[in-house]
Amino acid sequence: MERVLQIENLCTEFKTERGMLKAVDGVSFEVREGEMLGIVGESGCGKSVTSQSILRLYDEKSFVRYTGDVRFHDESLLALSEKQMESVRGAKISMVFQDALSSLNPVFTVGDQIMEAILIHQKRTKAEAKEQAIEMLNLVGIPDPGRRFHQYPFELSGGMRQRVMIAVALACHPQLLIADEPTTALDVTIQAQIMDLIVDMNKRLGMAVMLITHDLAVVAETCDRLIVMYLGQIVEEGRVEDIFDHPMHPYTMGLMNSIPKLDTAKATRLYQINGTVPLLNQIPVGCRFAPRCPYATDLCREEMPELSQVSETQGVRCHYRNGRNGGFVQERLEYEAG
Amino acid sequence: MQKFIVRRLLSVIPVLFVVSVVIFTLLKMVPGSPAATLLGDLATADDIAKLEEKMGLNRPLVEQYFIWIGNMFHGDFGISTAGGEPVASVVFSHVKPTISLALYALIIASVIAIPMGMLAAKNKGTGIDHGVTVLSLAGISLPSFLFGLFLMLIFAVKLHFFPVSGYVEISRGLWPHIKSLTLPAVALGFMNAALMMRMTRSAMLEVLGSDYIRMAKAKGVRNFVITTKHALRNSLVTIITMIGQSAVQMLAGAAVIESLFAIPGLGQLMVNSIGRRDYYVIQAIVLLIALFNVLINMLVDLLYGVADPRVRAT
Repeated sequence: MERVLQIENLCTEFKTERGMLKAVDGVSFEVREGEMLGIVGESGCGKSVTSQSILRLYDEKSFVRYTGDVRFHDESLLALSEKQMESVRGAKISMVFQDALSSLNPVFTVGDQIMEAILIHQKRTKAEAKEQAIEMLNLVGIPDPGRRFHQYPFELSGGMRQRVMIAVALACHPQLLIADEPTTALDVTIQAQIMDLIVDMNKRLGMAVMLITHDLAVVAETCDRLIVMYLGQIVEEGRVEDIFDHPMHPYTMGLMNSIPKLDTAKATRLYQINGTVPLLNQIPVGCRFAPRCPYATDLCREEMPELSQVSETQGVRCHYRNGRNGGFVQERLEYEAG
Repeated sequence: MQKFIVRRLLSVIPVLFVVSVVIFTLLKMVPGSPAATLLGDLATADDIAKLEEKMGLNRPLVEQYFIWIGNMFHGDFGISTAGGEPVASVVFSHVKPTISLALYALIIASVIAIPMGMLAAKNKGTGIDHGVTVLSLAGISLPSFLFGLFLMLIFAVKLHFFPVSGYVEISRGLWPHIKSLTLPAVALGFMNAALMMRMTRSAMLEVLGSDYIRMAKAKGVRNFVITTKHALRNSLVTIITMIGQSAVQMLAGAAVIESLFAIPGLGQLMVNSIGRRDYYVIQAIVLLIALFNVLINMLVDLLYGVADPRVRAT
């Protein structure tokens, strides 16, 4: 399958009062045509920063520095001028965000906001754009789109707003949709509907989707491939079924063990990964996960492991991957998880 | 929207009622009778009592209040004790220059402040931002009469662009009218622009950091359009509030600038009337300023509704 997006050694650094902080550190991956790629990790792992770096959404004048390469087909996005970048955003690569209420402009109607995207990127008259916008509302499953067109975001329900945001993002038929936790702010039932919609759009429009989430269950149901990020780096990547069957990185295992299961007895405590994600100015020297890893050794604390392929489709960043260096005992983790 | 307007208009009535009661009470609490002031030092107690009866000052307070209100509805605000002219015509002749000056100054202030505030917010932390901040600090700290004097010295005395002082009625031509008001309007407007600039900057900064600005950028909207359309529209409520406040301030408190440039406006009349203890004029001016205040606030509220659909809905 052809690559839509290829990221190589991407680093995103922010200028702060405490110096440059690297939120994304040497991330490389690709998104293939029509696939659904999941990116998971705790808050503060650089998932959102990675996705917003692709569209270069941060203020470049004083705030951020990107290095590495982001290629959309054969075009290097980091080398484009701001003007050229504008014609990529929303037209070729689109993005939907977590909270639709705050992400839709409160003072413009839903219709205006969809039309704006169309009028920027496509040569349409206002009437044509309006027609197209109503079509989009219909496509994302909004009943009575003609009436909704004239309503403001605050007049719609949460699920409806999320659909509107998807309509805005898809208005110009992008080849890649980046969905940054699109269901986090929604009710569980609405979450399922929105995920169904995204999967449906992926299938129907043949559009690649990069799904950023911390919900592994959603990834298991919808994605083809999975990337696990920790503290600005990829720690494991591969096909969803491979990783779910044989997670190789202790962090991935920890995430999976943290999912509550129906057959667990009520009295057992839910598994948790000890500690929290360190701040960006306190990045450990060796393996970044070492301070929280139940199997960490001196080797882990001193030397940073590389991301290495363990099979044709799976890569892991761990000294003890696949039983190497003696390996760690998976049973022990499962035992500890109860 | 119509319901919203009607509701706002109706809510003006109780406010004005309260204001009128307060003004009436305050003036009744001032020691000494207007009749005594009117008659001067040589008047006998008998004369004063006679005049008080003629003026209705010996009636019960409530009755006096309603007579006062009733007269006002007929356009009768009393007679100025200083010149013997009806208060209404005295005040009216002084309102026109003040309104002209305030409008002019407001336009100058907005034209300077809003774009500069936007520019500073857009370029936060850069030289442009610091420049604007210094300029606005200068505007806030420089006393308006001093700034006015500088303007007068440079543009009137040295360069002869504008008259040094004095006021030309609009009936004698628009251009001379504008010319006579330019220096005072710049002086008055610059002061207000300083504050407006800072408010615009902070309002814009808050909006520029919000999710829908990021969304607009992700949609491919140009930076310039993001600032002027998406961000400005959302900062409008703050900016409208600021302009409203400035307008009230200019209408009520331009006495210093008016005196400096010899413009026969409300502020000057107010100061002079207080000196002359011309109670009826003071009463009328205070009421008028209160009315301006209420009307401008109402207008501001209506404009909120135009700027933000969420206000309209509530």
